[in-house]
Amino acid sequence: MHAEWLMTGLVVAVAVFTPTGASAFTAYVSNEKGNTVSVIDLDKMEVTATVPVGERPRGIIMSGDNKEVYICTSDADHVEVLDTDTLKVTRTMQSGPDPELFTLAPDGKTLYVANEDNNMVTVLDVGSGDVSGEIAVGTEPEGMGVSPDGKWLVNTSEATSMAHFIDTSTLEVVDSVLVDTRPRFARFTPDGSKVWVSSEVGGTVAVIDVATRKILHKIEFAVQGLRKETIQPVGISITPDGKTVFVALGPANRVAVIDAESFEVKDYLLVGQRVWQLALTPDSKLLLSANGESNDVSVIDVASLKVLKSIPVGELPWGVAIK
Amino acid sequence: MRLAMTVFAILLVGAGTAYAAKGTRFWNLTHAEIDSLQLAAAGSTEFGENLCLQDDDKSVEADERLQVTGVKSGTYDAKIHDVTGRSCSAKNVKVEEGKVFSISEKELIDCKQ
Repeated sequence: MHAEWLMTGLVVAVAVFTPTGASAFTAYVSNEKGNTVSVIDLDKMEVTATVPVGERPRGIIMSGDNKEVYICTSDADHVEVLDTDTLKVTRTMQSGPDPELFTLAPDGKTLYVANEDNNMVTVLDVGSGDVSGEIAVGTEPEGMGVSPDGKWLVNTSEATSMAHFIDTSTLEVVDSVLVDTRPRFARFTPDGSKVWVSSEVGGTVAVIDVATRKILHKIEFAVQGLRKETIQPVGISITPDGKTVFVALGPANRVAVIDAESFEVKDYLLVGQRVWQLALTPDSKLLLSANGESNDVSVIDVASLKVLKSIPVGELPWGVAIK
Repeated sequence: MRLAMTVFAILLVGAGTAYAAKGTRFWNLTHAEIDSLQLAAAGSTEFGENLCLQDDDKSVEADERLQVTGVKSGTYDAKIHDVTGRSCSAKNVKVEEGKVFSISEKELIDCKQ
């Protein structure tokens, strides 16, 4: 009986002191100025390794099988492949100049890379590492989103303030939607019906209907005590049920929580400084934000919308990928 | 062997050329678009030309980079002005020719609106 109570107590204690329960998830954070990737054990909530990579790592994404991490090393002008077991860069892939952000096709076989310097999207065959195509887009391409069925690619071009809709079967731009100034990021909803596009300088997020390519709604933000120009939407993350959208607000140091049906901003969560990109854990219980100026990652509990912890990482953290 | 060495040398030169082609670049890590950036040797008040005039649209947006010419390696003090009307200084900005130098929001001092 005593042993039973003891076990029960132990289980309760573990549940209390481990707010989200054991996850075994690992986060990889690209540090834009430090030229490293920080590896975070999300059970321990601490950095367990720091891996040197090429210059100016920005876009970062897991491979389809979670065995590798793809990293845009912008100043090195290529994509690096990090083995998650050995934590070694095993190969590089030619990506075109200044790769900034990319997205992986749902089948895990193709990377679509935005090349900020030459106004192109490069299509990379992940298996061979070869360039299989190039798509001319607007000036300073950046945001990259692919639809869940893999048929549509959306690229945003910063200088032309456009969201370009690209048919992945023909690699042709079939439509362009004018959004507010300096669009930075594009994210499809899980059902593929809409794409959310953030405009950093415009300070808004446009919700675009994929079928008609019309803007359904434009979301504005207001944080008490902050000047409007400091609210600069960048990274976007959407829960798998499609109900909640998180938007990183840059130097406003907040993550906005938005009801995806009403488009109402429900909350602003105070995180680190210059919050850039976001990522949800695979179970969607935690949201991580890369905070460039404070050199840390904020860990947010999605259910309670509380910031649980700030984890110091490398210099100028930019992006996060989680397996 | 000689052929291998020659190929290696060509590759090295090529890599060096590609690196140098990016030039010296200013990285605006402040929160605002900058329309004036002047540098003076650290401790002096002899500020040079407005480097933002080297940009096509004469300003550098937040998080953007500007390739600059005429700036030698060294340590500089900087005067900046942004599009919100704010003027600030930054001390001891280290510049290395052919590489990126940055000024971040937390390095700004003596700001006046």
